[in-house]
Amino acid sequence: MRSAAGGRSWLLLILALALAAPVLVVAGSWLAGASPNWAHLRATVLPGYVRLSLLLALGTGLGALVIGVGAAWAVARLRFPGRRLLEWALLLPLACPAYLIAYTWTGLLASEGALQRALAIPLPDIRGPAGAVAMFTLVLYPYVYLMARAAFVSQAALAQEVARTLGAGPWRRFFRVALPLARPAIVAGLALVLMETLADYGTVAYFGVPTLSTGIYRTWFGLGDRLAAAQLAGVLLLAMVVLLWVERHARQQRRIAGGGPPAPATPLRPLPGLLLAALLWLPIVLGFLLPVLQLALWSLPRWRGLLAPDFLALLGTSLLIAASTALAATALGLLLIWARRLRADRPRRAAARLAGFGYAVPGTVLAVGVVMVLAGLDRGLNDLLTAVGLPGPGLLFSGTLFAVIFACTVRFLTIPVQGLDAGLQNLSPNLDSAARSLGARPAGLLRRVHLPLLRVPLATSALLVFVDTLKELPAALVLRPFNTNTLAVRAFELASDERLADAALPALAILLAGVAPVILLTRSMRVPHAPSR
Amino acid sequence: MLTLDRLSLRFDHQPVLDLVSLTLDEGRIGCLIGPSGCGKTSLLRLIAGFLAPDGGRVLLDGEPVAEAHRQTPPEQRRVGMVFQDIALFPHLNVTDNIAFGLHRQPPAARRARVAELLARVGLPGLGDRYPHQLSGGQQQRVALARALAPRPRLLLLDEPFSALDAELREQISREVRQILLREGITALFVTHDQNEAFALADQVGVMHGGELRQWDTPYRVYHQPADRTVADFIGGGVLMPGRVRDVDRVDTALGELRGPLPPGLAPGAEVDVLVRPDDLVIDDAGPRRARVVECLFRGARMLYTLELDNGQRLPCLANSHHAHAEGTGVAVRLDLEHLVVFAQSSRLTSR
Repeated sequence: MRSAAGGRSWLLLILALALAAPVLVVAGSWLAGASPNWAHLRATVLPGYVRLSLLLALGTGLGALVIGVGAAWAVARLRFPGRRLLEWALLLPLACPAYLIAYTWTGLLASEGALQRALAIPLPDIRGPAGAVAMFTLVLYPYVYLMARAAFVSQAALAQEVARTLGAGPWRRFFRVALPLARPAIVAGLALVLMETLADYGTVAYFGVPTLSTGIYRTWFGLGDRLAAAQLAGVLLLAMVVLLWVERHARQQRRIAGGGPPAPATPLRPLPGLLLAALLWLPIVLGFLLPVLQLALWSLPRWRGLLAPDFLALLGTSLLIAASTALAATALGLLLIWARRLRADRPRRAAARLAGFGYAVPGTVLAVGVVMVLAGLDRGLNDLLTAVGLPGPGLLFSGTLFAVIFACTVRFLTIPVQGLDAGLQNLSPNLDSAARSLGARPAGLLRRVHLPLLRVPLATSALLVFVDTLKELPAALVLRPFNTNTLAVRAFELASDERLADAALPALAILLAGVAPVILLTRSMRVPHAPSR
Repeated sequence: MLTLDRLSLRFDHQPVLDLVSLTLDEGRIGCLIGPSGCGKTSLLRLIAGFLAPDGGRVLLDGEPVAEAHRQTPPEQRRVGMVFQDIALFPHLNVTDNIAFGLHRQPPAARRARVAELLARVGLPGLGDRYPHQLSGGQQQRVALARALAPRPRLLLLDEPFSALDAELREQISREVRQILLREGITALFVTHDQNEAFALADQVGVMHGGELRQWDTPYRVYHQPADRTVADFIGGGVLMPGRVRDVDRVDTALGELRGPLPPGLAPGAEVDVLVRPDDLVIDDAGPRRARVVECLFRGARMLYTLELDNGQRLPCLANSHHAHAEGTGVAVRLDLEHLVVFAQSSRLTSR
């Protein structure tokens, strides 16, 4: 009994290691010693890559902080017209992948574009580092906003009132009480922003900004040096690990400040209230409404394209990949998290922790790792089969959709892992004990107690993975089989060929799918914050 | 029925249970009490099968269900359990909660048993409610019915009333005793509330630091505590210094007390004598004077703290008709039925 369960623990750890293999291979690429091209890279492009990556991270982080914290404070603590609508509308830009709004804005600002004609003044070219920072800021500030808002809302009135009795004015109260209390939440949001910024491939590639992420792609396909690409990916991975640690650490530091009712919102006079509302609508207009409008205008004359066989094939492939990934990631996440619930021994805890790691890995890095692992697997399989006199199956793993699905599963596994972990932690361990003492075996416990109680996190996780997979660009770009395209890849290719209007249809499809998780998020915002113990 | 044979348990090399042995007969209700962290909940979880002992055995009807390297999984032990946080399945209604352990029985038998239990716990007609639609007391009764439904050999209850408020707690605990007696089931409770333990149990065990210090009837645990720890934990008495005069006499600030002494105490030995609040009687004809230091009104009774001439403070539970103001003097006498004496600087004594 004991040893059988212990044996299963090790199987689970092996499974988790297999899922982490692409990441481990990238991290391990340094063990082979520096690639012959490394000295050359370091002398030429690497400093530039690092400098620009840092610059983008710094600029985006700053922009997201200002917009995110400011907006969060305003909707949590002030009363003004349209506050409730803004509260969730501020999340809408989260639906846009950065590469899509990058090319939409390029079209909007182009010399023959709509804005240019309407305003009749020369508009700046956004294709450069500053433009990239603007694009990232517009779509990523919601991470900071979401975390900061939750922190501000949960702060009890008491802390503010105590500060008032001690003679602190509104500014002092914000900087000395509210902000420090919310800092862990804000840092966690900021870490997510920086991770997304560094992971981006589509925007910087389209804007021609050479960063680490595009550098990996170029080193691999331009220079043809897979080892150097993996080692560059290792550098990016290191930065991600640091950010992931910061994010986890900050989450643990989060504290609900005191008990008691939350602080009431301060009403603003009509004019300042309207001005504030207008200011808060700005990021939503720029980061969501205007791009959607532009995409819709481009799509309208081409609506027949919806029924064209090539668009349907595109849609079919994308849905197939997204649905398979959603299914695989949710099932694997459930297996790993549930197994740890059943018996939290060392290997099972390690397996669950390993499974949460993929999100830190940018698509480009992951693509490198996946190719290395799957190509090795294919080679091994072919060698084995030819050795016993059978025909080799070809690129069974690395040359099929399996590669894309595998990569996306690894990258997004953390979503069901975290969602189901939180869901299970909400259930008293005594529910399990009760079921067991009433005669339920582990499988019965899962079927009769856990699955019915985890329906919501299961569905939510699957939906989030589905949409994230639909949006995923770099992994699909590198790993898709020949003659196969996804919506994201097609939109990116068309945009890169300056066929902006033709890219609108797939882009709009991705963007609208992206609204679904935003709606889910806003529903979770509605839940009143229970005082946590 | 239930036999624990020298059970030991360690967490991270810290002993949690140390050589715990006890026997609980068929149809009896036992109760383990002790301060938090004394290992009582771990002991229950070990009997239920959620923990495995590091040494010793658990026997049910003479059949070992836990011994070194051989554990019967909890689902095969037929040991029911009621949990501190009640732990009803939130996605199932009352009927389905109670029927959870009956899923292998034919539907008709299942329905009959659920109806029987709903009536027994006094909740007929609430079968369609969901847990969140019930009050705390109702949830507790459903939890009890759920645990009883498959007719377990033994029922374990882990601080079952701690989630209820004080008034409800007393009422429900009395009801639970009646239900358990009618079902004729052997049950073992855990609590930190001695009143609850005395009200419910046929046998009481006092645990401290992972050891079972005494396993006895409530009467004997109260009046004949096995050691200082038990005496300290039960009944709110104090230990008053005294000196042995001879084999059955002790000199104290309240005069000479007679009774059997633990063996091995020579005349002149320093000892401690247990004085319960109900051992001291305010009596105008009493031989000793005392001063009222504090009085706490408790409705029917008044709890005084009295100070003797030598500074010794003693608790005294008196009828609240006689009110004595703080600072006034009273006459007292000791009405001791059982002389409980512990040798000083020694934890080990006997009756």
